Amino acid sequence: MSDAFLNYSELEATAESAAVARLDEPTEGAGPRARGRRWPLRLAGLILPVTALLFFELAVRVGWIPERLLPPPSQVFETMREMLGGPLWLHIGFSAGRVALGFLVGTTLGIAVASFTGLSRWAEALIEPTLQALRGIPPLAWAPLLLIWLGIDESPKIALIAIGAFFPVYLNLQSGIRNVDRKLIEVGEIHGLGRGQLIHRIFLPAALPSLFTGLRQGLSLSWMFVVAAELIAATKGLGFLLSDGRETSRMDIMLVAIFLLGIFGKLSDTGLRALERRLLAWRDVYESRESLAGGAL
Amino acid sequence: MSALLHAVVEEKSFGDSRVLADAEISIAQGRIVSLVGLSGCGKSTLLRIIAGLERNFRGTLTLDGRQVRGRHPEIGFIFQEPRLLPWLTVAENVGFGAGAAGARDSRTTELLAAVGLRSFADALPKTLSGGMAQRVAIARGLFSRPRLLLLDEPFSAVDAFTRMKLQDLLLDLTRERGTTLLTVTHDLDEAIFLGDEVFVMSSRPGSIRKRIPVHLSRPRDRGSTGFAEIRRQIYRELFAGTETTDDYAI
Repeated sequence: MSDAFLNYSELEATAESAAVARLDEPTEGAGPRARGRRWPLRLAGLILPVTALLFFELAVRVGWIPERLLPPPSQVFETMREMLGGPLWLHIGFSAGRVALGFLVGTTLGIAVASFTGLSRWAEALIEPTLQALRGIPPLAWAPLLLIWLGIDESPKIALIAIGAFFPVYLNLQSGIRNVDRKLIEVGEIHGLGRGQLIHRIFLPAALPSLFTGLRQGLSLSWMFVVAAELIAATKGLGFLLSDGRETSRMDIMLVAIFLLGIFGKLSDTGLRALERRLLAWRDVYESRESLAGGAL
Repeated sequence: MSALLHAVVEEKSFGDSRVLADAEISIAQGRIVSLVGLSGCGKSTLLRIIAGLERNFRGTLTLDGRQVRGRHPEIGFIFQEPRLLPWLTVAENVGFGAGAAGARDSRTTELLAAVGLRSFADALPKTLSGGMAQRVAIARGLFSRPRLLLLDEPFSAVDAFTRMKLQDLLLDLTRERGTTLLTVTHDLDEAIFLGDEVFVMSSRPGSIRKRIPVHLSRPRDRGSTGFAEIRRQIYRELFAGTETTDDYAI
């Protein structure tokens, strides 16, 4: 072949080695030196909470803060240790289960309705104004009505969480679909894709980043509303522990519930983020570049 | 010689402004035509009409004597930007036309080798340079073995050196397949280097003003006097009626 091809393989060789050099770097920094420097940075996040715990422990023991207002952290952990042997798992299980179910229902509806209104102008004209009006109502305002309509067992709690999760998922995915780059849609059209194929091969993957933004917001709202629902009417769950602790003046139990809500909220978000990173590894964004630059800095 | 493509656009308007009027284009099988014109003359619109991306116009398109409406599988398109789908690998992008099996298609392997990117088959578009991405786009445009390949300023986003390499590559790939090419460009050197003929468009409303044949043997020398003479001729046509003509006629 002509020398154009020779030059190409040259070009490729240099470009390739550059790319390989980049790929070789681990995602969490460049080489052992960077990794060594990264650990102290991670641990830095522990300084504030540990100092605060030590301070409150000391403050309560010395008597700066009266023990009826704040039990010392050591006692809170002791209570938690005791409860973990008993009914605590039940409460955790109930809260997590309600979040999971409500989140599932809310996001399923959100994805379905957003696909509908995002892809069809008619559906948008029909449904969107109503949804926008409903969005103005704080989901908690439905709580008393839901109690009357659905009774006081699980269904009103699930419904409340689902309402909370629905809107962020719906709004983000709908705008994600609406904002798909026209240029990519044309690529689909040039390849003769029909409507169904266009949705499946262009719209949905292109809107995936927006969907994940919605999912993460929806999940954090789900935890918020599970607490609200359980505070209002429940006999199990972390929210119930909060109201029960108040009635029995067991501040240590309340703090255990708060601590666990923080832990589980964070854990579920971390899980979703890990999934997001896996599925959206193709995005050419600051976050994915950051880890590469991190080694150079 | 009967024409592979015959396009007559009687009228195409965007709102109140007429973009194209009586634009007629005819290309014989296997020929390479460059379409040049001042910015805003409607050359890209004409190309998009032929591609089936613009459907709202008055006129007719025939391919091989048969009337075409909308998309035609034998017409390929390469955009100004690579427009790779960022969530697909390089191989999946090249074989996009064959769906999920496209990445493993033998044509994909063959084309990736031809554009010198075989080892990048599983890479994501974000790891490619601009020139590499455009090579992937060329491979994707050729995947379906189109008889007519349309190119909309395909190399305007890459540097001059890469552009020349890509022009050579495009010619290599399409000459062996006998693909008919219609390239919109505002780089006169590119128009002459690639084209068997250069069509010059007039502006507002756009139509084909002049067809200039390029009788230069290939591979072409961008520095030859014949090349310069044709460039001068196109330049005169582009600016016919404006004062620049006199300044330029040395």
